[in-house]
Amino acid sequence: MATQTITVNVNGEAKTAEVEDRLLLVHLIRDNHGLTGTHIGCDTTHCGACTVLLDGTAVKSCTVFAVQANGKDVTTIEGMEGDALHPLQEGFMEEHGLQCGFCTPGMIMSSKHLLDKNLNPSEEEIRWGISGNLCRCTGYVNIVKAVQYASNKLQETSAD
Amino acid sequence: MAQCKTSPEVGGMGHSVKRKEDPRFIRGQGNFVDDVVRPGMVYMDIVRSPYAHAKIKSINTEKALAHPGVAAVITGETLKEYNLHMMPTLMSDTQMVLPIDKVCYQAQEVAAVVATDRYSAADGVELVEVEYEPLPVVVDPHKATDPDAPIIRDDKEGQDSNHIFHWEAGDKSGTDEIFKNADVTVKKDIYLPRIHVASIETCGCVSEFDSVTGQLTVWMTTQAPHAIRTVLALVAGHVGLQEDKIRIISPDIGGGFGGKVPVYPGYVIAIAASVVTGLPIKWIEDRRENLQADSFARDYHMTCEIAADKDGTLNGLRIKTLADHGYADAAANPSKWPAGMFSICTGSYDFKNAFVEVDGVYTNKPPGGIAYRCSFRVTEAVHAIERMVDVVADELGMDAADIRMNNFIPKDAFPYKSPMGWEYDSGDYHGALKLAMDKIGYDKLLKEQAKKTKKR
Amino acid sequence: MGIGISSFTEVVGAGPSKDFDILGIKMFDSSEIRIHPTGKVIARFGTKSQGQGHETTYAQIIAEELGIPHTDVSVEEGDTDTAPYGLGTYASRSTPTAGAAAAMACRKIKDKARKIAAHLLEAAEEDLEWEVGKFSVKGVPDKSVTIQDIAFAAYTNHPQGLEAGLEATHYYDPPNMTYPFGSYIAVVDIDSGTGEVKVRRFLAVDDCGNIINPMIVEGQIHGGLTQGLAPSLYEEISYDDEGNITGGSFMEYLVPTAVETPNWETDKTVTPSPHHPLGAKGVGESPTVGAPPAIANAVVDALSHLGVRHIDIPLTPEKVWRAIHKQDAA
Repeated sequence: MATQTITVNVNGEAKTAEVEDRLLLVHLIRDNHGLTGTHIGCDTTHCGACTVLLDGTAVKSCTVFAVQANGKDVTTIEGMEGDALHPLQEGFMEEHGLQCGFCTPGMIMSSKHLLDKNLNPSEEEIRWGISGNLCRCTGYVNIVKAVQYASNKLQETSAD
Repeated sequence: MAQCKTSPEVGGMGHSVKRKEDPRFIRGQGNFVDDVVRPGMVYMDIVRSPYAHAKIKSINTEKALAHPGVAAVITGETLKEYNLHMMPTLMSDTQMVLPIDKVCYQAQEVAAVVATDRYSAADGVELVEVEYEPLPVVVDPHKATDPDAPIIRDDKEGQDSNHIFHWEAGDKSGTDEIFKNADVTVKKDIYLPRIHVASIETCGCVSEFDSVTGQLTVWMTTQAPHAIRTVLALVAGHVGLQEDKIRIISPDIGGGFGGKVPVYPGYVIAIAASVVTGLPIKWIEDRRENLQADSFARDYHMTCEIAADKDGTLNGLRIKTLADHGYADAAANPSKWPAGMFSICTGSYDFKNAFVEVDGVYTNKPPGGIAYRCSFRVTEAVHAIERMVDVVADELGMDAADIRMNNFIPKDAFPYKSPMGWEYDSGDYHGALKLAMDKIGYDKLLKEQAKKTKKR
Repeated sequence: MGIGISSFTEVVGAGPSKDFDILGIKMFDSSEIRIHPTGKVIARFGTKSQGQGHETTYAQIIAEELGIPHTDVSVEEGDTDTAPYGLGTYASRSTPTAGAAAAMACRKIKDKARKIAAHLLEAAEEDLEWEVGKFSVKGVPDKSVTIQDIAFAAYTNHPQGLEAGLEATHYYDPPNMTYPFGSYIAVVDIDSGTGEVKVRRFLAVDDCGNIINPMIVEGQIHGGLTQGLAPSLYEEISYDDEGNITGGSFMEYLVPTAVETPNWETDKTVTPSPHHPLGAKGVGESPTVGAPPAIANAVVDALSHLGVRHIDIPLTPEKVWRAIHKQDAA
């Protein structure tokens, strides 16, 4: 199978790899680049466990080819913590928004996309915003609270 | 609850302390089975049957083996050399690891491909050629014991039908007597269909065997690592695995809910392949494999009857159940309980007597099945009794809350021995229902409903 | 609209050795607890959390029994090379079995700690009293030693005739199952044009005896209710006459998202288990057990004025529509 060399900016770091055309972005992230925080949970683009940001927009990395990310920015869960935890990460801990932790990275990335576009979403907007991410453990109530926590915190800091 | 004995800093019982697990998960630093990487690791993928019941005429692995990334193809014949082509289920039935003669459910494992990477393994699966001769299929469990039904488990000595077990609990004649003399009896067929727990993480393992030390290490999505270790030692002891040299590591698990209790053929094939090839082998099923082949839950056809007085006093309960187990009884019940704890079905009510019988049958479907947060068939039992109490209430024109309050086991009756022999330790059913009714505003809801119904 | 009640009794904590075994292996469970010289704890168990929070809740049990801060307790599960033998985690058995084992192991440790405390305080064991985290001489509260003092002494100043170290293992064979229970009330609204069922409100009152971590219990209830909602309205794996599966991918098998899942309302009563060392019962599976009949009862209630007496779950729009329009299901 034909291969090509691609360079993807992952969490601010340029990473080069030689890949088959058919390699999925999620496998590039996990297997080639060893960032295993992004997870695989289905094969029909439903579960969202593989969600990352591609040039700032949430995508399901199981349904994107690695070559499509050539020259682009990818943000994964590993890129969320800067000098401190991102308010979303804090919110998930404070509000008990995770149990087994498997859907959590994808859930956080989708929530980041949501809050980037709408800093003050209503509960309904949050639920629709994460409707592409399945969770079997939490029943979503506390995930909604976690996103609201982050929304409040981000609004506070943006007001400063 | 009484006030907490300890301070929040000590964090004993009653404190909502933050979870110690969270710091790694919110950073994506969990250690799930698919995150495990071992030096020299190769990947396994599985060829699956498109037919629900078919003879295997031939398996041609030539084209698959010719693929540059494919290292090996494992079939039932390969495993038979080590007597590992069959394995016991947790209910002491048997199931195939890989078939020799025939397949018994759609998506059943037929062969496994070991390759240098996931994609080559998938390519290899496409290249394995299997010739099938379809056989007649048993899908409807009601027809499974028809005289002309094909025998699914003709591999089992003495198995001359698709009937697996008959199990009873309670007092048949005493209960029949109650029904004979009852003011009111109601009967309903209640079917709880097959469902699948679908944890967001699918099942899988990484198996590594050190031929010098004889040490087998398996990272596995399992809810019961010690049981796995012992079962492996018993089943594969003859190929040189001994329990002090078997290490099962259940790392972070992305949801179990019962779906990660059974021993799936994929694990056994991967373990066998790692021993035979000497290479660490990773097998992670995809979602379709998970839904189509792994242990299901429910699939109980229940005919339920209650005998009651005119005033709504519940006296007798009878349930006859047909349990569809798929092609093997692989339900993870405790061994003396083929129908799990189904006999808890008298529920929160003080029945005078009860009798249940359950018949398990084979069908051409995946084996199982209690893998979905059910406490060993308690979901089935509770669904039956709670629906039937409402059926009685409807029959008598009684309110659903009233009939419950009138029949609850009272708080001072605990420990309470049910007609089925369960000794309930403690309970306050009236208290819980009253709190629920108060909090939801039950009376107000009834008034709203009365208005809406009148409008029609 | 319909109102549905489910007042369930669960039975969890498998289980007493006289009745329960898996392939002959009895269903006890275990806890092995060791206190280090600096008073920190390593505790290993025969169970295996898959999201239930054992690293936190087991630490809390040890904190309760010994007064050692839960943040000083490391919990490990899942490696058969190091964990004591157990039957794993499913069917809400962990708190009833391994949680009990932890409490019992702590009590063995406390017995030994008392001996060491008596040695340190130069008092008779009977003259000592225990208060969270320390032993003191009765009537002389200033004469006391903390559990951390005792742990250090176990390695540096153990009484002659007593082994050094401060640890215990307990294999707990429960005398009975535990019986959590609850009452759930569902309120549904049905669109008679489409048959769609909307859960307007769902209130769950659960009783699992004494609670270790209320936040974690509530999270378990939320998740369990969602796995009760799912089979009630959406999930089914079925087969055609040739044994072909329908429902074999997430295209057809509908796992609820945050949009379908209601805002679960929860409350509790507390009726301790008389036989469990902590008065606790299991809880994780209660909501999945109790929720479907509440929803089914609510839907039948909503349609009872039309003569409907029963519908099997899942209560898909098609099934509900057919029941309303008195047509047999296809």
